[in-house]
Amino acid sequence: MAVANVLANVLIVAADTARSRAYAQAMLQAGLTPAHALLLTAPDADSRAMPGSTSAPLPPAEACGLHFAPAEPVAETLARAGVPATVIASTDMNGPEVANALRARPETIAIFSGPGGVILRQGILGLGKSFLHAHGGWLPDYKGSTTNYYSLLEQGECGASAILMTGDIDSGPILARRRFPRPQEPEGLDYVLDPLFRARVLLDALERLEREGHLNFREADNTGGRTFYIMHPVLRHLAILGGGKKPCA
Amino acid sequence: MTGYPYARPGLLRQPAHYMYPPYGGADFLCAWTADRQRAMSILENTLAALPPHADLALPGACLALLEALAGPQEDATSRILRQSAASVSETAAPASALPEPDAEVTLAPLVRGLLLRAASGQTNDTADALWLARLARKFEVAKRLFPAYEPHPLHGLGKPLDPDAGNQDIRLHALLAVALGLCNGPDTDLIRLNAQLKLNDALCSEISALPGQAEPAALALLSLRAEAWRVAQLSPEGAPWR
Repeated sequence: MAVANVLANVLIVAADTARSRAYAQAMLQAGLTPAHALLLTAPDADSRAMPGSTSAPLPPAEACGLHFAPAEPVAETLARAGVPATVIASTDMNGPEVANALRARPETIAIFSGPGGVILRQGILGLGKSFLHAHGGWLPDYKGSTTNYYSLLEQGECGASAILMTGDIDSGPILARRRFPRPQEPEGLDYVLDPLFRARVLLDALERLEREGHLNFREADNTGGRTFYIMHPVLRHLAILGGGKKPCA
Repeated sequence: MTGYPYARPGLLRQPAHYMYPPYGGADFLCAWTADRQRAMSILENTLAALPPHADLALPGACLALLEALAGPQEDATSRILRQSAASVSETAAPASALPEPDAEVTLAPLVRGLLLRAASGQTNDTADALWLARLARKFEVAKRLFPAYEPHPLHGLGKPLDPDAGNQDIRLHALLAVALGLCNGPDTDLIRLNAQLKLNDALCSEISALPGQAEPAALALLSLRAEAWRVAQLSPEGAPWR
């Protein structure tokens, strides 16, 4: 594990999801940690009910040069990394609690890792911070939801892209992106592999931030592409079980 | 996981959200196939007992589109649909034109027009494809269909004109499902197929009501057959659910 280098101008906004756990563990392994964390917690309900989290026991995994222990809560990883955290008793990324907490923080770059399926609204995007998001798909080609399943069906591969968030879904500037070959166990996409793919490109962006001191770099243009919607379970199963598009006769 | 859980009764009232579904392996797809075949059998049995009828003219016209994908359909239901299409007068109303940019959008005539143009080989490929994409997007985002919408400069369909009139007309689901399934030729567009799968879930969730409505029942059957063909095209050779 690398000696931690604190990114003084970066905070993470995290709910306890598989994605947040992967991000926190990846940053700790790379020795690049945020200066602060805002931890979104459900006031009453079990966090396992939150989109992007699961109660199923998941074994550790290795991918993209990263080790991932899906069972380790994000708070535990951040504590091990020495990242101070503010607990927010809300999982509403667009709510006043999160907005007030963000306003109170001096960091100008926020890693976005809220509950799954959330779209940031202008009330948060307009706070004057840059929101860094890792999308689970190769941009600009695959925008929207569950895109790695669509790219598995169409191209037999996955992707991830780190972007700065704007008001348009998955259309912000691309800071880093990677393609990944078809996983050997694609049934692990939701809670293990997709989080790891995203963590990998997040690290790519943070490493470049550390070298260059800003986020003004651009990996690629993000115009065009198609927007996909939550994949139907039949297509999802086809993607996992090796189905896909064949050339039209 | 046992059975296919995504076509439970009542999806028109409470649409499914499909977020993070559990993985069920090949058994899940076999269960889906069985559930769809049950629905198709119910529809086939009902339709096969009907005489050729003007209400079946549009499905009859769409039958040719299905046969262009899946080959000749020689069952009793298909014969009735074919006869119904042939019996429609030559003076029948032409397909509705596409909505003007600032005009309200009435869903049923729009989709019927898309289908009739596709069936007659008179498709305006670019414009028709744009409207199909808009319709798929609208359904995916709202998870409901309404009889009419305000115009929208970018997305074509804006807010529903009557929000209280929503998602109770199974005809709209049947029309859009078969349009998404048949108006694209043999090359499967996954965005359209994804929406069609969800629409077909809604149709199957209302299977008890469909036999009483000839045109929606026939359109639903065509949509289910088209869906089965497209899913088979995406499936590995020898898959147990084919």
